[in-house]
Amino acid sequence: MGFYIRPQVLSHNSKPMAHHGDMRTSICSLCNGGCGLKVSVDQSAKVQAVFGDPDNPYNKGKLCPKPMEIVQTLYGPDRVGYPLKKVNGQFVRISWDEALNIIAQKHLNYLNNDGSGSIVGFTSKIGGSYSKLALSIFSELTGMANFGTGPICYDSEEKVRKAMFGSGSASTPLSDAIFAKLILIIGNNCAQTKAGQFQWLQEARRAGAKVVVIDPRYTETAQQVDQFIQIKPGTDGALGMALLHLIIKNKQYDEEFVREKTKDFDQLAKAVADFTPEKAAQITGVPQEVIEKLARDLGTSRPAMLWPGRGIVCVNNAGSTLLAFEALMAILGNIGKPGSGIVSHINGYGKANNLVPPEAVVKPHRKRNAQELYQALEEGEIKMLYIAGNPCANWPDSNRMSKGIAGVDFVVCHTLVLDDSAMLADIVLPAVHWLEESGMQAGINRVMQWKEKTGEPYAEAKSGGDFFRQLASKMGLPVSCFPDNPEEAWELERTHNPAIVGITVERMRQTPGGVHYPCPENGEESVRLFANAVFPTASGKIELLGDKRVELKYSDPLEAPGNAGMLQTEYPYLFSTVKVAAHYHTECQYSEWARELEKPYVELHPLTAVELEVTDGEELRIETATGSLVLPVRITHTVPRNVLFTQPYYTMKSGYETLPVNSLFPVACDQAGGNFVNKNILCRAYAERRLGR
Amino acid sequence: MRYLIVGNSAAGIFAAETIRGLDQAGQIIMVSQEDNLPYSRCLTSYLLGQEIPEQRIYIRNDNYYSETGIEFIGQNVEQVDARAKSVLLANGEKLSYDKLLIATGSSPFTPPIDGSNLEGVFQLRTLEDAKKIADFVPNVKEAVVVGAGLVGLKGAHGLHELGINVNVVEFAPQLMPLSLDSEAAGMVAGLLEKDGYRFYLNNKVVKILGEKNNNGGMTVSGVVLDSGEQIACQLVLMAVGVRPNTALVRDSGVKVNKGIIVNDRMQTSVEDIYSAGDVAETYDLLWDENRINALWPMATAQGIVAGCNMAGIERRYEGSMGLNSAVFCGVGVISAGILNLPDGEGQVFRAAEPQRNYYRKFILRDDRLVGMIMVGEIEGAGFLSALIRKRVKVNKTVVNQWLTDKISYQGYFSEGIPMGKVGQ
Amino acid sequence: MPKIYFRPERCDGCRACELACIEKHSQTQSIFMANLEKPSPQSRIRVSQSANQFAAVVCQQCLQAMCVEACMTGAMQYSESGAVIHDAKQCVGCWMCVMVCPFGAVIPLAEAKKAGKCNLCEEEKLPACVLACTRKALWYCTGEEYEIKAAGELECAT
Repeated sequence: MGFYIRPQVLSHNSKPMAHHGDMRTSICSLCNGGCGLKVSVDQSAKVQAVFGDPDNPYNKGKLCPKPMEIVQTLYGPDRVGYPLKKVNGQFVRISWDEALNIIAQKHLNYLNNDGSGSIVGFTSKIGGSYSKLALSIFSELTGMANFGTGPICYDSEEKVRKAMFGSGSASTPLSDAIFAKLILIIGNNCAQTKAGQFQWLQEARRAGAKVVVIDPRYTETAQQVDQFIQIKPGTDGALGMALLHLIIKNKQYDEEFVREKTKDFDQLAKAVADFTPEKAAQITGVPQEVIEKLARDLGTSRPAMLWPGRGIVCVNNAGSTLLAFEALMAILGNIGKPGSGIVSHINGYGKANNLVPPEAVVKPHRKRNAQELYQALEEGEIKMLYIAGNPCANWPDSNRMSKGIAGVDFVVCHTLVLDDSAMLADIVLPAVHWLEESGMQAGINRVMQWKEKTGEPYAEAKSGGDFFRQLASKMGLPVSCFPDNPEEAWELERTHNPAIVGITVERMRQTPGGVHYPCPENGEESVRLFANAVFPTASGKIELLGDKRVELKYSDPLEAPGNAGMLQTEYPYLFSTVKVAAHYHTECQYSEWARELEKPYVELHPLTAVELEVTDGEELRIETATGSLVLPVRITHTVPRNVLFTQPYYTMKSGYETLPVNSLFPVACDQAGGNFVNKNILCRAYAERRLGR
Repeated sequence: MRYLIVGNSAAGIFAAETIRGLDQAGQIIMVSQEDNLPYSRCLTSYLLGQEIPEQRIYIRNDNYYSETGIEFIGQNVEQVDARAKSVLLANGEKLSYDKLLIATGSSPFTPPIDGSNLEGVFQLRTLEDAKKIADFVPNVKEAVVVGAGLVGLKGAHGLHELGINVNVVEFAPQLMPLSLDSEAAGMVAGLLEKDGYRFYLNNKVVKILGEKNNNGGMTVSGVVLDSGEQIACQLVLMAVGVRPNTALVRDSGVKVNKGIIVNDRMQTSVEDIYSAGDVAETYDLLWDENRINALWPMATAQGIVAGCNMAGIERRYEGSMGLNSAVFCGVGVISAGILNLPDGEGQVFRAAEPQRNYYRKFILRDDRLVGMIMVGEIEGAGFLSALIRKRVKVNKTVVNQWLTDKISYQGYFSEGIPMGKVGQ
Repeated sequence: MPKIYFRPERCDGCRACELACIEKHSQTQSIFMANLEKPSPQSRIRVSQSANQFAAVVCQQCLQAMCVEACMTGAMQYSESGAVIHDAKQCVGCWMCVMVCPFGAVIPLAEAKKAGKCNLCEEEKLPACVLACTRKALWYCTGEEYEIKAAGELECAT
């Protein structure tokens, strides 16, 4: 049977992206999926509605609810329109000039008295490519350390992959799925989280691929694929090691590829030598026959792709798990060829270098990892914060984080809405929405697409790019280092990064669906990484065991960070957060549609519900060692026993008025030294019966 | 009250437990020729085939007698003295009773064949028999089983499990003539032959040959069949049938036909003497006459009825029926009731798919199910055996569906379904 | 002693009880993995249809259980609380219990060579099938409770 899709010719069928009447084209910048949008605007250039762009060759008009909800938040009552200053606990409107003056003076003051390490940025939502570049230039000039999305989302994944392959980025576009024979999806509910791009898996299935989902929950993704393997939470590493064991034992790996292109194979084989499928079946709860069958399928189905999700990244044993599965792909030779490799929303394309004259570079005088930040906040080491994001809800032990932030001398928050973190700020600055800012947006298909701004900035909102440049000017920093607008910023970034130097704004505008990167000077796109089987590691080969900071050794989620030392008799259940389609981080909760679509709840297996003596809709108090929270119960057979699942989005300063779920998660990182953990944490629960109900 | 129970197998122990449940204070004495804990005779072939360890043959735990307050005596009862209300033990001791239950079971019948006293000729009934065979088999490569009834086939299976070549000789033209029809028997024979069994049907052993052994005795070396054929073998297992152990009631006034005759309260013709189990001849509800149905479920049910009546609670036995279940090479075979009606009587429904070892046969008489055979898919067989037992009128369309469909309980309450009120 | 009662007029034959039972008796405790296990777990409750009426059959924990009487290995027995329990270790898979259970509620687990029957999910607060029955056709209660509930139901119906 042949294929039904030929992506090479897709571009001929689609029109170039262009503004068309009052329907404008944009790229969604929420989840790094890179879905094309059509945005309808009225005469005053106000966004009326957002749709999927049928001409975009990657999402083909399909879209999840998240970008559609935006229209309700752009001009909504929650949006911040003007700079605000906190006076006696109340925000009062000030001018941008006044705000910039205060910030510049404070920043210089702390820089001189307390050193560059006393100023820290939480900048996960700083904006598009223009703002990101300006932030990085500003940070280089001032020695400001920034914490982005990494610690709460992908650090472990990026670190492990970088150690193995030399690049933490996805190696393959999702659209390659149609060439694959087998697609392994682990801990990833992409039917919800990447709803606009999920059709690639359906097309892959029509083209003959077998799609296998490994998840503790019977997710929407699992419901639409060929095979669902239900696994005990946090035990994926054991499965990965048993698959390695079987593939090696049955000599089903790609011997030539292993010999020529990988390093440490013998040590890998030794590390999994005793990891039999019997042992893995014991640990994972997956029947031994199923493990053996999956190994056979992997051994005989090439090319195959891997798409790991947060379910094996934001967990306390992520390092060894990721190492096992990515090494599995490597020894099977599923790297660099069409329809093989690793799909991820990490779209690393390298950093622009030498943007700042070397003599002007200031290094942070203190280096801290994400965990150490808490103590630094509490002990007053940090005097000033730039917040663009919502760490009070998105970082673990949220209560502690909020207290820490509240105790900081001077907090600047550049934000769309007055969220939980903004409420703690001394100065609140209005940020532009990504629909109101042009820039480059990369996506899950390893393409760079140019996003034109579709609306004028709301009220006095400024982008991070403008803000940092103007702030630098007030602080007397070399303004000439900063770009003046998004196009200029991209030009600067592209010309300082050899990996993408071939991707001009014009080229992106002309190419439907965008330009694959890397794309060096000669202008040749690379659809997938490592097509030439050269790896940017020290050895030039795939280092199967990474850089040895992560050991290929199964670690029990109950004894890994966050759970170690806890008594299961006291905390008999596991608690995890999982994603839904209607929300992204905390920003969609200001949309009424999102609030209508999704209310917080905790999913329970019927037998767990009986054990806890609660029924559908009743309230359950969930307690971890870190915090506690009350949630309404939703009973479903789709979740395993003794594991409680809820969603991570909701906060106090929103229509939901809910304590952030992250306040229940401990400040614990996976041993790979990366991610915070927001799954598989021991908890206890009991029915919350309130008087008068 | 002093209850004396002779025999410690199914009927005996279920009776004893019933009595203990109804009369906490009564003295229960159990006497048995076999001085050990209650065990299941049905499992002796499993023990022989080393499918279960010895401790699993016991059906009650180590402290059974003391926990249930049963005084156990490991002696053979020689004689019942009904007038003196006592029994005589083999050691000369006399035991008096207020109520006596005779549950002595049966013993294998040994036909008068030349050479049946040779070393290497066995029967398989008791734990001791199984152990004796187990001690003997290391020298055995070839064995002859005489009789292809359930006991014979189970014994043959046990020997087969040990890697011994098994030859089965049967007088009838089919296996299990009492519990299967020829078609089902053929299916079972086919299964077993594929597994390496050899069958000599329509045949009998006329002589067992022997040779001198090292101890100066004579050991089995082969058998001669009716047909003149000779089979070389080192072991002969006799399984031609059992006879009730009624010797202890001779001259006691207890009426004996083939077995001890009892009424529906398990009372014998002599007051205060009850009988249950394989030794008793009880009412067979399908044949409507007294018969011996030497089956475990019947023995336990009779034991319970006897126990109740002995302890003063009147309870009537609803009657026995033929009922057999066995597994051959992983294929379940269940039969119940009357399998062969005289020609012209009743109605037979049959479905056979030999390639997947599937067979069903239902025998109806007066619109009532009186017998059935199920080979292969046996789930739900209990529902049908209950229909037979309760003599319920059944609908022929439904019976036809049973030939192919999964059999499942349809409730006593739904329309158009076979069950009516019991006894209707 | 509570047991599982079935109300036929409430059942719409959805078989959720069977699935819940399979999940409960699976090694993986997963309804999704259960069909891949060996030996494959089987439901101890069975729903059958006759005309438009459904019947769910599950062990009735008979006061005088034929399976206990017929079991030649002593595997079938009564528990302290009065339930009929099955000791799978002792079972040899002779199917005598299957042969006599008038409800057909003892399931021959051919692969495991063991009989299988409802154990009322003894370690749970409620049997899984009762929990799964959204139409409340399965009741888990004592005989007295059943009488009261059923009487109330009839009153409502008339």
